[in-house]
Amino acid sequence: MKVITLFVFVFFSLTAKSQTAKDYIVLLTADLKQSWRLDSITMNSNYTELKKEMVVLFKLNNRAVIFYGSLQKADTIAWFLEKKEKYALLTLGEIGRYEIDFLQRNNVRYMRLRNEIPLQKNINITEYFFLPSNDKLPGKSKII
Amino acid sequence: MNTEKAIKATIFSAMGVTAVIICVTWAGKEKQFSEQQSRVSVYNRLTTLIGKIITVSNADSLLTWNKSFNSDFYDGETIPPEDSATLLAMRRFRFELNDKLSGTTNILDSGRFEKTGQDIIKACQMQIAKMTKGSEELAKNN
Repeated sequence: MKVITLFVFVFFSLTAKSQTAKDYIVLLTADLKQSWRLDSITMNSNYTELKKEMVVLFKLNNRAVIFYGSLQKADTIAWFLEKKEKYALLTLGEIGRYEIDFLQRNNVRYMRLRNEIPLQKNINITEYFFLPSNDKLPGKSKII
Repeated sequence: MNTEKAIKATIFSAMGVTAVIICVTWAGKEKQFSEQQSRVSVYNRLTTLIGKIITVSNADSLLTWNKSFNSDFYDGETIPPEDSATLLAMRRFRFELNDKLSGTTNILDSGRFEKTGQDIIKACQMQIAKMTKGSEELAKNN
């Protein structure tokens, strides 16, 4: 068993590709061609920090424009992405800090933000699922 | 005469107390040794299970071992609370395992599932090494 474990460890160490913050930023900002719409959250969670249907456009100057509901109201906040050893962290202004992942299921690509995973099992982790949004944002040309 | 008897009684009492202390200490060390062996066994079983989970390609086996991971280790509280490294690694792994079971892939980090499994294995091996070292010291003292 030890030999197998060692083999598996060496195999994954050799084949592992390390991701940089830049890789995450490229997908997050998508060259400003795409914004992200909050589609859903994990069951038994509430929309407290992030609002349902909010649309976020991440700009390269570390500012993010958030549109709510009707897309008439917009806020601008700062964002910051930090790559940790095992995951990446996205700070969204005063809203919060989340682990960020880009995932794919059934050919659908999406972005997931979730609260940092703590040691305690009894603390609920809310996961926020964002889909690429190609909605035409109001005043987009001015924002960019 | 009375003094002699008192001295004898004192000596016998002291010997008796010493014998009792030796027995209690020995039994305590035996118990400690046995608990350590049992903990080592738990870590070994967890290492083996994680090794199987991260290398399996059969969905049914993955489901079975997922249940075993949850019931025997994650919810079973077999890992002591002071071992935060293993517990946190297990917590992260459980999220990755759920992703794996739902057919979700990580676009930027396709090996995340296996890597988080490896983190558990490494944490377990560190604990086993610590305990084995402790057992050797115990054996020496005995």
